[in-house]
Amino acid sequence: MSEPKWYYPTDVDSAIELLNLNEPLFHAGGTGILMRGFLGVSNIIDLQNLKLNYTICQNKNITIGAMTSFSQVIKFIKTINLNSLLIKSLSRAGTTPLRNRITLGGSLAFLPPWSDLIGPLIALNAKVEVKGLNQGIYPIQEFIRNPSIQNKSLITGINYPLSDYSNFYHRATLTQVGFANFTLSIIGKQKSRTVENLKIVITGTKNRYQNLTDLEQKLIDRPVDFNYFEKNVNSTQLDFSAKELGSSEYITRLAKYHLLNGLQQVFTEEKEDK
Amino acid sequence: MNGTFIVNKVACNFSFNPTARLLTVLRDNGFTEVKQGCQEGLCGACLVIIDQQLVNSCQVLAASCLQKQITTVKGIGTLHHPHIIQEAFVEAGAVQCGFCTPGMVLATYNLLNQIPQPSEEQIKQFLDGNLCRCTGYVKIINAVKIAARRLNQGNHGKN
Repeated sequence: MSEPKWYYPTDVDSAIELLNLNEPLFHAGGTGILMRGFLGVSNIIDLQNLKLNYTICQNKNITIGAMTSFSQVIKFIKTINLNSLLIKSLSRAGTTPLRNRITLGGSLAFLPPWSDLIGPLIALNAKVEVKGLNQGIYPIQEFIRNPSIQNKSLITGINYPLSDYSNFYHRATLTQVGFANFTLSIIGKQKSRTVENLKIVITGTKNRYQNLTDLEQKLIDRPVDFNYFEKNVNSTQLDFSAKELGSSEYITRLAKYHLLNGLQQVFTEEKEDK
Repeated sequence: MNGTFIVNKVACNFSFNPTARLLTVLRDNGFTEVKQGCQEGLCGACLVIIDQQLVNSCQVLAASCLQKQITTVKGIGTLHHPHIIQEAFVEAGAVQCGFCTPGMVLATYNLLNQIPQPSEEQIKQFLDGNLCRCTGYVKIINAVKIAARRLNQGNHGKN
């Protein structure tokens, strides 16, 4: 097998044109590629010079370029909202030197278990911007469901609406640097002690993630009543396999404990949105 | 393939495999101060600074670093002219077997360039990618505090 050849395009159009080469692979930060290996790769297209390393906050919308590293994302969002769900999640992904290297685009392309990105992006209603054959802006859930969107196409960035909702994030691991067995993302808003809005996403389930829409519907427009929350959390169906943390039953119980804890944190009286 | 890297401010032309990691290319060309540890990006023994970013060289493909500024621990201080951070590590007894030390020193260097007076929490957060199996971290954290204090007192040495 011949060694892969590297290309260093300087704009998005040139990078997309290079996708016509035989067996191409995009290189962003490189951490995902090293896990994937180089089997069946003849050409590597480096994306560092495409100027996709940017962060914008405009019209209550956040836009982040695909080549922005996790560290840069955290630094940028800290200037807008210190309590952001994305800060909480990305700060726990990998380690400082890894976060300097892992890019948003690379994580979306590979969706690796260590990136902690999917749950928060679904909860935040993020959209993925793609250029090339399947050019468009896709809701994150559609992007995850349909891997063919990436055929002869390049992820150029994400965007999501800025919100002041309260949030909660939990990452369940055996050790700090271990892969997450599951993550839990909650964002919510209350008005006059009534649940006005709620989004709950658990990753690491059998189908990669579960958006708990049934539970959301049961709680929205209801008074903030933690006994009612508990009753509904206990009857929620979570679909885990056994993992390093323990059996599926154990992980389910653990996830429900953190789910209830998260709802209590999001909807405590002090955090009531005026 | 061939390529030029700026290692410790010196332009170096290396020949390497297109899929080689930066760690391998550096060590194969004499930069053995970059230690080979876990090769999974978890231990921090192989840390280098690329264009002011602290990274695990085992998680970086060499071909993605052409013409970039790469700093190894020898780029900030040497045996006879140690950096204040290196002196602080010796003084605090933060070096035992020494295998993690190049990575620890570079992580500290990068931290103090960004946050000159870090809190203990910030030190712990920033060194989260460095594992030490000897010291138990207390002396390492003390070393970072000593270095920060000295650098802030204007005793910048060759920083």
